[in-house]
Amino acid sequence: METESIQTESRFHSDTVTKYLLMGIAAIAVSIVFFIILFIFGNSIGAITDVGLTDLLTGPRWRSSEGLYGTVPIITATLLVTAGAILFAVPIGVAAAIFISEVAPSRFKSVLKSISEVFAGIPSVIYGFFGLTVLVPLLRDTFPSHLLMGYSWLAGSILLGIMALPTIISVSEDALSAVPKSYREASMAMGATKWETTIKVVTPAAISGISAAIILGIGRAVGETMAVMMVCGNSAIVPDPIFNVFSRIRPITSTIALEMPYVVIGSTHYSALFFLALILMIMVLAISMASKIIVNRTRRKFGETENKPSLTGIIVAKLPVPLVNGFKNALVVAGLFLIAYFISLTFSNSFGAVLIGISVTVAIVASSLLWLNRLKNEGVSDRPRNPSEFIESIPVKIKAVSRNIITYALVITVVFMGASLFYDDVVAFMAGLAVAAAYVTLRSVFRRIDSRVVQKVAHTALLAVMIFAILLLVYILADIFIEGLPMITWDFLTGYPKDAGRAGGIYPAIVGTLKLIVGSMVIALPLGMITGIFLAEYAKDTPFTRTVRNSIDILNGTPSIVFGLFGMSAFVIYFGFGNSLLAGCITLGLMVLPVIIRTTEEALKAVPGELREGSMAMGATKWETTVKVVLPAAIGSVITGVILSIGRVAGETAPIMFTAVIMYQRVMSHSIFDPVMALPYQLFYLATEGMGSPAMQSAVATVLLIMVLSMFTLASVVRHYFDKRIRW
Amino acid sequence: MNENTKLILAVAVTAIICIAGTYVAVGGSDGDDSSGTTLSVAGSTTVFPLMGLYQESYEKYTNVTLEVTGNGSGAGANAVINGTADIGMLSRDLKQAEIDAGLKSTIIAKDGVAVIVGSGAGVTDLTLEQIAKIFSGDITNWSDVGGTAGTIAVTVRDAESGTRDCFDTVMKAAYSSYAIPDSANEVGGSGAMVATVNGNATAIGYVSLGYLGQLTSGSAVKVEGVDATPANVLNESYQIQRDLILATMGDPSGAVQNFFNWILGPQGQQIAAKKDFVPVGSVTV
Repeated sequence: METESIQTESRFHSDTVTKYLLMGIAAIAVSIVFFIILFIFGNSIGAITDVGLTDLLTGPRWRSSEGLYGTVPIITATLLVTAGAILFAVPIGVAAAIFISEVAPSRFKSVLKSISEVFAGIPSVIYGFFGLTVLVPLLRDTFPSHLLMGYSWLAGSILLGIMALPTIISVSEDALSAVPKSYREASMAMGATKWETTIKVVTPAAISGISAAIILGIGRAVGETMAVMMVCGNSAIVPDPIFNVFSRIRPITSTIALEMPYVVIGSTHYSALFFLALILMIMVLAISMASKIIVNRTRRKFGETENKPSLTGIIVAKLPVPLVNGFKNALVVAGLFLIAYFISLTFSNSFGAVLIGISVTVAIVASSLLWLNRLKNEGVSDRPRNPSEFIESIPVKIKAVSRNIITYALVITVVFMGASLFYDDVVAFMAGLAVAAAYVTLRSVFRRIDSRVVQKVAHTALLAVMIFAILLLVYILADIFIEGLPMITWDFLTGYPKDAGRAGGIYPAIVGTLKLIVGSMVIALPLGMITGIFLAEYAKDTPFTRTVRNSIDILNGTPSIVFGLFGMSAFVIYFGFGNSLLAGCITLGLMVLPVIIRTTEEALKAVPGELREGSMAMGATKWETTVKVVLPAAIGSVITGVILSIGRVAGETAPIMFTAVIMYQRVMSHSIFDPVMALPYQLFYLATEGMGSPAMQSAVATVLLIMVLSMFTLASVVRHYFDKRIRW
Repeated sequence: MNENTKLILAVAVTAIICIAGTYVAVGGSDGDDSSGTTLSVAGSTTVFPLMGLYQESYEKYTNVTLEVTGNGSGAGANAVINGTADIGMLSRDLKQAEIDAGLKSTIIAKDGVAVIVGSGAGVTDLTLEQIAKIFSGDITNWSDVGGTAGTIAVTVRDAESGTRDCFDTVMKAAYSSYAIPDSANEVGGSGAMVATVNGNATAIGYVSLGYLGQLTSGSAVKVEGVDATPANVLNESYQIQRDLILATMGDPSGAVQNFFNWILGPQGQQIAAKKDFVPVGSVTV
């Protein structure tokens, strides 16, 4: 094609053909989302017809051996463990982000950011191993009269909190850095200190981004499987009382991972597990929608254009307004009802809880409408048409007053809940009041102190939080390396396991993990890069493109355990690949697809337009330009993305546990239809089953960590190298 | 910097991936290519270590490769029914539904379920009724059964465990209102059970005799005055016991049949005895 001089017309044709080919491949991402939903929903229909939707959603007990599939304790557990994780992670994460963005000297910023990336790169099974060997015994020894074993909601929340930290830190930091410099300058010019500027100007300006960070953190925590399963104790009960953080709980993800291996395919139990996955998907979708709305709001604030609606958005826009408003109302009412329902479940049976839920919802909605009516009479606000508008219509003054009241009430409640686990209720309530009083006093004292002193105290506190986070990471890594490194010998790396994995080497697990990496990349690389190229170079802002983008967002947010279920039902069973390397590679490949698409797209978009124009002006077609000019210029970032996704594939456990792995293999098979051993699963198995010495478990963890962390190091080296080399 | 360094780096990364891939495809340095039959085995974590030993000896002189996963008796039976495994390991008898689905069982050994307590329990002998009451939550302190004062931390196996099935059956017979509360700590495997008792001084749990070697802290108690040993299982004086079986879809045939014959022959039974299981000789059901 290059040698011949081709007429413009056929060049035009070849570009159109290429475009539609690429479009077709990009549509695969959409179809994957469609099939995931189809398989998950399709398989859960059995439970809905056998058990009934009401019994599934309101049944108080989950006992498969007795045919009881009430999801209340399971869903409650997911909500509770996530809430706990957020309570742990938000203060630390936001403080660390503020420290990195506003306080840290600029030369430390990138170092601190890469440290938080290392946090993100540690596989979840390693966190679980840390939880099992360090956190659980530590909690047991700290609270001997409350924790018999240490397995608890508390352990799960702390671990999940640590895992959500990197997301919260990096997204909040981005939001803070995105606040225009002029805001800071204006504030400082008014005589405010740096700290006052940070807390009163920069943070409020970035609050949407920080909220998005928190929501993304919640998303990560909700879908997490391995770590939670290893430390939560897995009793399918609602904590008693509901804020008893020492209770054992069994969240959605743990239930699926624990029970899926032993269900009969097609049974009610099997279907009930898919129903749980469906609920998990709905939760995650709701979370990602919420974060999108908030991100859009930020864009509006800083004068950027909003994302245009996708196909769904267009459909919604075409619906009659009353229907949309009615839907909004229904959502708010349903939300209120669910919250009231779950809270009152602790005091009464499920029927009573329904009644309480209804009455509380009615009371809240009615009183808020009445209150608004009164406000209207006082001329404060228009009468809002529905409850969701009501929230936005609350005037600023009332907001401030009620914010204070809510803050004090929250402080008292939280302290009461914590203290009542140790002391009786009266003492606990007094403690709540005392802490609230101390809070008020401290706040007024702080107001009178010289603002430079306040700044010093605040910055020191931020530094302390940052150091705490770094020490935590160092501790996790050191704990594993110190015990594991001495165990690693040549024989350990190249030998076969003996005595059910208690002794011998881990050669098949290392090779198995490499096979999974290569196989998943063979699937994800072409698909992902081509979709990325389409989105960056060819796609216009059409409904189709937006749908592709939304699908990629959904794939990106889908919990890995859902990929595992999808892989099992689609590839292992439906296509009949069996528990095999092939099924595992496809599942993992689909899981990392969004990462590769996004990094390719971002990398290509960063290439300046002049390069393309230059190439096109020389008579190259668009495809020639993309492949020979744009892609080589962006190759550094693309490689970085690929290496990062290899790191992710190496450490994932949940997607392969039902699709590709076995525990013990003495002779390796090289058929893609045979299962493999894999490092993360081996660690999970050895650690939970107490197989082999703790040192041997740590050695497996060390090998896995070295593998994953070297990928991250390689990625950052590549990135720095290209960052330095390429100057437009 | 050289103009071509970028390209070299890209090639290097691709090369690493390719070399790793080729290495994997060719099969590593050992060249352990399996040309023979592969049998996949899944199920009971009780039988799992025994199967591991079978595998090590059996693979030495046959070209049969075994792929073994220990995930619970119910999982083993279902894997055979679902067609994802050739042989299921069970530490309980087949249920009627499983027999109806076409499974056949072969008894390979007998096994006792030992009641294990943490190092701080301070008891050495319990009656069946005491054990059943402890697991039902009717006795909650070690001092109530003559031990050191301390809240008992009950740990049970998952609902699909063969060990739990056996334990629950014996307990129900001894104490009519035996029922495990939902709040009991539940673990998914025999090793996890031992690890829990090792790590918790006031814990109680139960596990196959084959796992007692892994118990480093704490001990197995006498049940009704009888020690949990293979000899006492064989003479049936130790009451919490069951058969270990291998399940196949239909009667075993071909490579599976040969493997079973070897297990029930002198070599296989010797390995079982070495693991503290009780050999059964050539008994086929």
